[in-house]
Amino acid sequence: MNRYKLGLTLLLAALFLSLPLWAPLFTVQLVTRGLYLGILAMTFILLQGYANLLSLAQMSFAAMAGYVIAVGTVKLGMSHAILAPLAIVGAVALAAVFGLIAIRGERIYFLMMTLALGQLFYGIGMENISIMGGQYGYTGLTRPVFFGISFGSTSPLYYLTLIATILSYLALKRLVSSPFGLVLQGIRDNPRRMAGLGFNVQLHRYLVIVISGAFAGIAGVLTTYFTGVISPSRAGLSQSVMVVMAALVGGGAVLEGGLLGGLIIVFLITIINRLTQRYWTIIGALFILVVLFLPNGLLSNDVRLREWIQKARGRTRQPEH
Amino acid sequence: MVDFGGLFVKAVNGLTFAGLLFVLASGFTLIFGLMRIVNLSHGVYYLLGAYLAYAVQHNKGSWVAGVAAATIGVGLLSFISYLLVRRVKGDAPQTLLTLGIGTLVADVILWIWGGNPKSLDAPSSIRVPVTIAGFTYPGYRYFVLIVAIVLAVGLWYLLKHTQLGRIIRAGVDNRIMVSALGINVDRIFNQVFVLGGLISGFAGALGGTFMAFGPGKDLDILVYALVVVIIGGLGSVAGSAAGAVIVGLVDSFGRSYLSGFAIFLLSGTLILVLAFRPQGLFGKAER
Repeated sequence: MNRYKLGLTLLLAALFLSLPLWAPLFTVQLVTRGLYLGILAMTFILLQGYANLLSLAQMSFAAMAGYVIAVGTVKLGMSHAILAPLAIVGAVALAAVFGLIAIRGERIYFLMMTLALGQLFYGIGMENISIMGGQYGYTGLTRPVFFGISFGSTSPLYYLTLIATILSYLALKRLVSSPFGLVLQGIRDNPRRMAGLGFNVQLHRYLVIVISGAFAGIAGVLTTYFTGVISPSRAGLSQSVMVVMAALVGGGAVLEGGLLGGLIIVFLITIINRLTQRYWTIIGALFILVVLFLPNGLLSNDVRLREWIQKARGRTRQPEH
Repeated sequence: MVDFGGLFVKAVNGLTFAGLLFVLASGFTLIFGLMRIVNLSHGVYYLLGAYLAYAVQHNKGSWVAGVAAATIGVGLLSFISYLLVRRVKGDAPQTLLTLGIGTLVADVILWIWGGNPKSLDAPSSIRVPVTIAGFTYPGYRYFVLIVAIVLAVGLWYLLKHTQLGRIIRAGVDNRIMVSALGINVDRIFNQVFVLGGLISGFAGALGGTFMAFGPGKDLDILVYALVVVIIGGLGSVAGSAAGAVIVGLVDSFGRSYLSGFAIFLLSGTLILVLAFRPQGLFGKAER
């Protein structure tokens, strides 16, 4: 870790840890939302940037976690301490099922299948009233009380989300640089060669989908604590648009980009929402502009960007040969 | 005693719905087959077509004029979309771009026409009940089935017997070779994209008369199109027809015998087909 990175890390740590002390309540809530959107965007990036799998089903996994919590608390009267891990297991299980089907297609086929499966999950949620509560799902869910702290109020939930985000980020960071992560990147760049080297390409792809489901589940749990609501719309395509956009804006190939993108998108939407009712028009237009002009996001390993930076540096310092 | 009348009605329900599904899936699969772009704004194309036809019909225009407006209007949108799509390289960014276009246009539609569900009225000449084999059934639904068959024959002729069709088929197999032979692929892509849009707009007007539409309908339509083409095999027009019939019948019988589980049944069908034929019924294996 060089000096700049250390400095940046300390600065960010100070900023995020002290946030509830000086920022308005509303800002803290926005950052909370930005963080869990960031986790979801990281799961998208894990698949997109490291395994070349474009998934539009990440919101389904998150919604599944929400449904586990809702059904568990409302119908079965279970405690939050048991339900939180169970919700993540639920998300993983759904990812395991979706993965099994979608893995049969590559790239654009995979995208189509995850979209179809995600929308079918949404459709089932709309149709099924006895378990999933139909169109309106469950509202007014109870918030957990862990260690005597109620996570219904803003600050505790913010810190819970912050800790979950940091741990998720570190775990994912570790994952992508682990031997497993390196094999994934090898598969991303040249699946045939990796298969020729004896790696089980499909198994690696499958496992990373399941793993992404676990983190999407964490985000789903946090979202449900935040909103107290779960309904099929959580798994809807417009929610997935947010996740993809966060990932694209931040940078589709690096995990940090997901977190940055999540925060940017939440703040952006809030600002647009205040200005106009037609914020989906603006979001759609922004989405188009991002794809057109910022294809690799802000924190990208964009070749052009790197060349540009090198050129800028070259003015002051000659490259060493 | 088996209720043959009920069975007949459900089968015809399914088949006529399949007709609509084919019309809406064929534009989608045409674009996909050649360009490997999953047009995620497809559902919005349909919805825009339906609303354009509605706007014409409710300003004292005829149904036919409405259908024409829908077809041309969405064709125009498709042309504009292509101008954007061609600026981006790679199938994934192109697909995501269409998602952005869809999001934008869907909201503009909501802006103009509001949130209440709408429907179109078929002209009385094709709305009359038709009696076949002793069973009376709405004529419009038969009309949709006939239109779908005519479109299928037309597309078959286009693909098999015209120069554009030959180029499209060659392009589906090997795009690079086609452009190496001196064919302006960009222009062909443009034509196919617009053709896909024209068919989608037409499907919107046709479907808007078939069933009510409103905000959110675009997603239902997109899912139906996706499921039909995934089952049938991506890029195959024959596959779309087969997929449409399967989905139409499953949907119709599912809704009457297992109401509340229709979508579940649809998912099951999709999973079943993919388990045995991952490339779809008529799809070529991925290379």
